[in-house]
Amino acid sequence: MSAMSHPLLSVENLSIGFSTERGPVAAVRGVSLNLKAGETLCLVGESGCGKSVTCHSLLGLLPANGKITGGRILFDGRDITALPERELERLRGRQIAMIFQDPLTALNPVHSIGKQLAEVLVLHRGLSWSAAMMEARRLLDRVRIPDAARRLKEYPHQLSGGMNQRVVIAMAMACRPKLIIADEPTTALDVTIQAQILELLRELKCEEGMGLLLVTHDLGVVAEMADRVAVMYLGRVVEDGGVDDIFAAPVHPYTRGLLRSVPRIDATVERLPTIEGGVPSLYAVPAGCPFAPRCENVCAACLQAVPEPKSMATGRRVACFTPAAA
Amino acid sequence: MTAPLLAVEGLSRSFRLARAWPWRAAPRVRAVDGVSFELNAGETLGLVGESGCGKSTTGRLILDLLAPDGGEVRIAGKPIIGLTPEGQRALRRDAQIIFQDPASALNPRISIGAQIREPLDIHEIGREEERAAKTARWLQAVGLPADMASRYPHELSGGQQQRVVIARALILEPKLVICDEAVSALDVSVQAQVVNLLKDLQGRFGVAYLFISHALSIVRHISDRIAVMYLGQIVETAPRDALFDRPRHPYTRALISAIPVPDPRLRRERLLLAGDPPSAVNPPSGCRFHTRCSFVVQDCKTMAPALLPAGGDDRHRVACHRVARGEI
Repeated sequence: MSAMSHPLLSVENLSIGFSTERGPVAAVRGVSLNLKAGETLCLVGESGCGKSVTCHSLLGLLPANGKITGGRILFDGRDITALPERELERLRGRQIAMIFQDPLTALNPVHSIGKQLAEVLVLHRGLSWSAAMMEARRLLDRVRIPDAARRLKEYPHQLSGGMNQRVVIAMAMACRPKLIIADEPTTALDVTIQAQILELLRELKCEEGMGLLLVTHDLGVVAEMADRVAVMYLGRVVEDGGVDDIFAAPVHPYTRGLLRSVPRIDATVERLPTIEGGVPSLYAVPAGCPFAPRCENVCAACLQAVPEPKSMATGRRVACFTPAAA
Repeated sequence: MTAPLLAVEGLSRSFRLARAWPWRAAPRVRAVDGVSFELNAGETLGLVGESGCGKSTTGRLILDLLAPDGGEVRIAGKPIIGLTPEGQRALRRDAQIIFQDPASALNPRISIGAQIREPLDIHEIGREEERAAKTARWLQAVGLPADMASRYPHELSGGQQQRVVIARALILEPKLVICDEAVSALDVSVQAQVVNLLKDLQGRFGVAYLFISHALSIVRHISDRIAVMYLGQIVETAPRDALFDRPRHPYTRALISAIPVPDPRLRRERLLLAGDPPSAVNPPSGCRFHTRCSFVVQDCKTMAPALLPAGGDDRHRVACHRVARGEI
């Protein structure tokens, strides 16, 4: 098998469990994903669907009470679930970088922007301090921070939220990683700033040819950014495929409901269509298909067994017994 | 012509920040700076803007939860600034507020039924059995099952908790409810349910909403009219369709353009705003938006524009020199 034939990231049947005071919880239940180099995959779903946990597990960043209970994560063809912490550390930052929602918690308040950026370069790329500072300045230019030389000496509290997120992106880009994982990178930002950051991420991805795994709850962001989409519900991927296919003809009843219920800026409707009920608690996941209690197409089979993802035309997979015609 | 339900005129409020050094004067943020608008009975006015633009402070000033530095607020013709405690209590019968996070708005130790009923107890409305019946009716009106009355907030989902808060705010049948990011913390599928519920209740009880939100797409679905704020001032106000069909102010245009549309076929060339909003401590001179505006001319830097009717339409008002001159 040639090096080109395997995807950059391949998640196979991944399951993640947490032990909590109220008992064990299965947060991710058999998730499979594929991401090619140069591609953007959006992981979308409502709170508690397991999208963030899935991402964190890719870097071995699960909290102490969380554990991968099954499946494999192949990065560049290598299973990284079994890697010892030392090897994972070499992977993090160098090959896979992560951008979190809140830039202020990702940055250290007592060190200058320049020092934090240079530190990454010294540690991971083995540059000298002076070379690292030069490179840090180039990186700030690259993420379009004006007056980079001055900003290097400043501290996170002196920068706006949007600027800080640019610094975090610069830090993620520092080692030219093959994969960037961005967990709700613009959720904490205002829309005009969100537009700037999304634009920047798209540009950088194109220029560097890296893979981008973007986690978001905002279907607008998905439509702007994704090449492919995976829709999650209660720990499972219910539908995945190309972004145009999924938005033009969603097949899973959950995807259909979700897309219908988003208020749109470019149209007025008198009544928003909704999905009945709410997302059940992870402590009380229904038997059978997890979406069955809210589903408009529910049938007897849905209450008995969990539908497995089935491949359809055009690279789409759907986990549903009663899918709508595409 | 009848007087509007809510009239706000020249409302202002600034906050003192911590001083950087003991010998320096403490800087002041002008959070709300000369805001005026009206809201008619049974109508919804959407108040939108980005974080720090003063929209939430405006909401609090209107309910006398904060004292303004200047300006006037009248609800049903009565001024509400500087009320006595009794006056404030009477105001709460007519005007209520719903906040973003229902979990912090509810008391974790009191049952749902008792919390919905509490306003009736406080305002001594009806006899015992009438209060109980009314509580049950409101539980139903917000779409919660009757057995929910004996449950506690932690047993409910976020969407259900917000329904409880809505029932409690509306049980006195107020004329005005201020919704301060009332659906922002909810998931998409639940958000749509709560927006529909608010609309239904408005249809049944004729309540007016001041719907404060950063999410313009939700505001579009609930509002009759919309006011856009930037750095403590209203820059544009118009009926809903006029605002979206023909936004006039350069900031409104950029704001609408920045919102991602959930349709990959419509990936647009955006009107990207450069830079960040300036600080309200030292707002730019003249038009506050001039530092980020692509249509800026010399006058914008020196003269503050007034909120004037645009294109001969008295209901569509814009604070922009270049719009006023018909140049853009």
